[in-house]
Amino acid sequence: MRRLSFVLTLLALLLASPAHADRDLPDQLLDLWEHEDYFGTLTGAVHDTTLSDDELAALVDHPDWRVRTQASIVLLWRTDPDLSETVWKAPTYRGRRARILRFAEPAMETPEANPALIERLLRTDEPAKVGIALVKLIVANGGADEHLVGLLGVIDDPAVRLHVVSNLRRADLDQAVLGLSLAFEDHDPAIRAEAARTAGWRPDGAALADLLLDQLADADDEPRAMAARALGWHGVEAAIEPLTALLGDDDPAVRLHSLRSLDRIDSDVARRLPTLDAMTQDSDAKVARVAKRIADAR
Amino acid sequence: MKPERLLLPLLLATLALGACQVDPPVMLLSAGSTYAEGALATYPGLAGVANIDDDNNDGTPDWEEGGGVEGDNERSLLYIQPDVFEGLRKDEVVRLELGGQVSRVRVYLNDRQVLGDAEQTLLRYELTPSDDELVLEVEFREYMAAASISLLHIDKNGDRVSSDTAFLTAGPLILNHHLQPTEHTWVMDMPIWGGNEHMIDVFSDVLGDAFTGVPGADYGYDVWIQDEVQMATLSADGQRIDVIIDSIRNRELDPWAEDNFPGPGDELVRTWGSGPANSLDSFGNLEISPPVDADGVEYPLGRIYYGTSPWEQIHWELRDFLDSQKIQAPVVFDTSWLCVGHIDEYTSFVPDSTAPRGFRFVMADVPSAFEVIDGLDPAGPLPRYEDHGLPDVASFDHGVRLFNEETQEDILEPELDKAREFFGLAEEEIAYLPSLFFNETGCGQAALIPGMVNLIVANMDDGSHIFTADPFFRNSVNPLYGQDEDPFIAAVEEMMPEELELHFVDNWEIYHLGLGEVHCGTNYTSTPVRWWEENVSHLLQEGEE
Repeated sequence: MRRLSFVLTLLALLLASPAHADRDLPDQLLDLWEHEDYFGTLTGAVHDTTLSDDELAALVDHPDWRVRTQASIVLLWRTDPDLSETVWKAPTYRGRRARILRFAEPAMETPEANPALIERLLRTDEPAKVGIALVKLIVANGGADEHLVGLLGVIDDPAVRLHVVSNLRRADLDQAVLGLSLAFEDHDPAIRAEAARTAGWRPDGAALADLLLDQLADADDEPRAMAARALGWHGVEAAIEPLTALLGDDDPAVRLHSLRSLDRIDSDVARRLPTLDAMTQDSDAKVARVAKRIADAR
Repeated sequence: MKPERLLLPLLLATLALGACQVDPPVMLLSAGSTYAEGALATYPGLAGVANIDDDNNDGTPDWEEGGGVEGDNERSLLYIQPDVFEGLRKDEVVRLELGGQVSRVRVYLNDRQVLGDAEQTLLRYELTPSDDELVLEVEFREYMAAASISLLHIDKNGDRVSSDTAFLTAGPLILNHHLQPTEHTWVMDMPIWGGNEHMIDVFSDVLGDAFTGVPGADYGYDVWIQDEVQMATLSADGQRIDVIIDSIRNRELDPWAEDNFPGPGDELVRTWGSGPANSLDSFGNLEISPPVDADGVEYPLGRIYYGTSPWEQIHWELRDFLDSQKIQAPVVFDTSWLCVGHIDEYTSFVPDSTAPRGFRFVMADVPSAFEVIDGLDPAGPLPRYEDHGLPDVASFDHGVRLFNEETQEDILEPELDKAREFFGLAEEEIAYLPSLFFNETGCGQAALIPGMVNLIVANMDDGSHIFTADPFFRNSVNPLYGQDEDPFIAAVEEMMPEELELHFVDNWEIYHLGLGEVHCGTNYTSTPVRWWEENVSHLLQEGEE
C-alpha cells in the first residue's frame, strides 16, 4: 500500500521544485527522516537535481547516524533503485520453525542493501518478526558497527529492539558499550536482561562491569540473574560481595547464577560459603545441583 | 472407571482360577502354526486388528457396516479340530461362550455371525458336530478390544467334560522405533532457498527405490515432514493397517498424508486433537525407544517419549490416546529450554548388535564437543559458521564455551538422568555425541553445530544406515570436500557403533539455519513388530485395577 502511495507521489513530484533548497543538507535529511509524508518527501529528494550524489556521498561520515543513513537511502534510490525496490518487495517465508521468518532474496544479502533494509525496517508497519528478520540481515551484511546503536534509538517494538541488543555481540567494543549502556537503561526488563546477556557473551564484556554491578540491584528478576551470570563469566572480583548477598534471592535463576558465578570468580570463596550446605537442598533442582558440585569439590 | 475397563482384570482372574482349579489344560482351540503352543491361553492370545479401515471405500469404517464388507481382511482365525466332537454323547453339547468386552468383537462361523456385538449381544453358540475343522473368524471393533472365547464340552448334568479358552485381543496402535526394518523413506525435494540437492542425492544413492524425494513445490516448500506425521501400525498375524498420525500442525504439508496413504483399505490417516497447534504438537517431538526394561518392568515394544514445558504441551487428546495404548507407556522430558522444543534435538537411539540390549542411546554432549575443539588450531577458518557470527575455531570460546557448559550442567545432565530412569540405561549404553547449542534470541536454544543427534536410522537389508548433518567444522562450505578431514565427523564416527554406515548430508541452509536438522526433514515407514509374540500382558493390564 505504501509503495503505491510512493509511486503516485513520485509522479506528482517529478515536476516539483526542490522542497528544501534553502537549507543545509544534513538538516534537509533530518527533516526527511522525521517528515510525516516520508515517501513524498523522499521522492522529492531522490529527484532533486540541485542535490548531487557527491554531496550525499560526502555525508557517509556524518556524526549523526540518522543523517548518514538517510543520505545512503536517498543515494541508493538514485544509484540502484532496483535494489531498493527489491528489498521493499521481498517476501518473507516461514522456512524456519518456531514461527521465525527468513528472507530468501539473495540481493538482500549484500552490504549495499543495508540502507534499503533499514528503510523497510523503519518505514513499514510489518509485524515484529519481519523486523527481526531485517535486523538479522543488516547484521549479517556487516552492519553491526554502523547501524545497531542508531537502530536502538529509533525502534519502538521491544521484540525487535531485543534482537538489536542481542546482535551487539557482533559490534566492535565502542559501539557495544554505547549500545549496551542505552539498553541497560531500557524500561523493558527483557531488554535490560538481554544487555547483560550480551555483555557476558562478549570476550571484552568486562568493560561493562560497572553497569553489570549496578544491574545486580535491578528490580526485575531476569536482569539480576543475567548480570550475575555475566559477572561470573568475566571473573569480576568486585562482584563477590553483591553476588554473595544474592544467594538468598527469591528468584531461583538469580540464586543459580550468583552461586555459579562465585565459583567461577573464586572457587575457594564458593566452597567456604556458609550457606552452601543448605543450598544443596535448595527447592530449585538446578541450584541444588550446582551447590552439590561445589560442595563435593571441598 | 468405565465398566468395560473392569472387565479385563476380572476376565483374567476368572480364567486363571478356572484353569488352575477346574479343568485340565486341553488344547481344543488353535490359531495356526505361528502361534506357540499354549499362546492362546495367555494374554493377549489371538491377536487381531481393529476393523476400522474402509475396504469398500464407502466412507464408513468396515466394523460399522456390520461385518462382511467386500475385500475386508481384518479378521483373525481360530480353528476347532473335529476331534472335539469325538465321543460326544447324544445328551451332551459343545458350545462356544464369549466373555470380556463382548460388544467389541464379532465371531463368525461359515460367514455367519455367531457371537458378539449385535442388536442383542450373542454370548453363547452351540456347535453342530462336524467331521471337518471349523474356522472361526474374529473381528474387532477398536484398538485393544479384549475378549475371550471358551469352547466347552458339557455333559447332561451341565458339568464340563472339557474346555479350552482363548484370549482375543485387538492390537494397540504401535509407534515405530529405531530398531525396526525400514521400508520407505521420504525427504522434501527443495530446489529453492539454497536447495538440498546433496541430501536428496545421498538418500537416493543409499536407499534406491526405498526412498522418495517429495516435490517441495507440491506442499508450499514445507520441509518439516517429520513434524507433520508419525507412522504407526495396527498388526496381527497376516494383517496390517498403517496408521498415519496426522499432526494438528496443519501447515503446507498437511495433505501429504492423505495423498501418500490414500487407503481406503489398510491405510488410515488419523488426527487426535484440534485447534491451534503449538510447536510441541509436531512429531519431531514424538519418539519411541527400542525395547527396554526399566525399574523391573519390561517394555518389549519400547516407550514413547516426548517433550513438554510448563506453558505448552502436546494436545491433550493425543496424550490421552497414547497413554491409553499402554504398551509403549509414554514418558516425558523437559524441552522448554529449546526454541523449537522437540525431543529429537538432543536425544536419539541407534542400533548396535554389540550393545547389551541391541542399541545405544545417543545424547547430545557438550564436553565431547570441546574435546574436539580444544585439539584444533584456533586460527582454523570455519566459513559456514559465519552465519552464526563465529568465523573461526577461536570464536568457539568464552561465550560459546561458558553458555554450553551451563547447558550441560543445568539441562543435559538432568535430562540424561531422566533417560537413565525411563529406559533403564546402563552407562555403556549411552553414546555421547559432540553437540553445542546457542540461544536464539527471544526463543530458546537451538543447535549451533548442526545437530547430529537429530538423525535418521534406516535399517535396510545391507545394514543400518545413519543419515545426519554434515557439521562443516572445517574450511569448506561444500559437502563434497573435506568430510574426511572434518574433526567432528571423525569424532562422531569414533563414538558411533562400528556396524553403522554413517552418511553426513548437507542440511545447512534449509534445515540447520531453519532450526531443524535431518530427522526433522525426514519420515519413514517400518515393518511392524509382532507384538503379540512379546511379553506385553503386564503392560496391557497396567492401570486396569
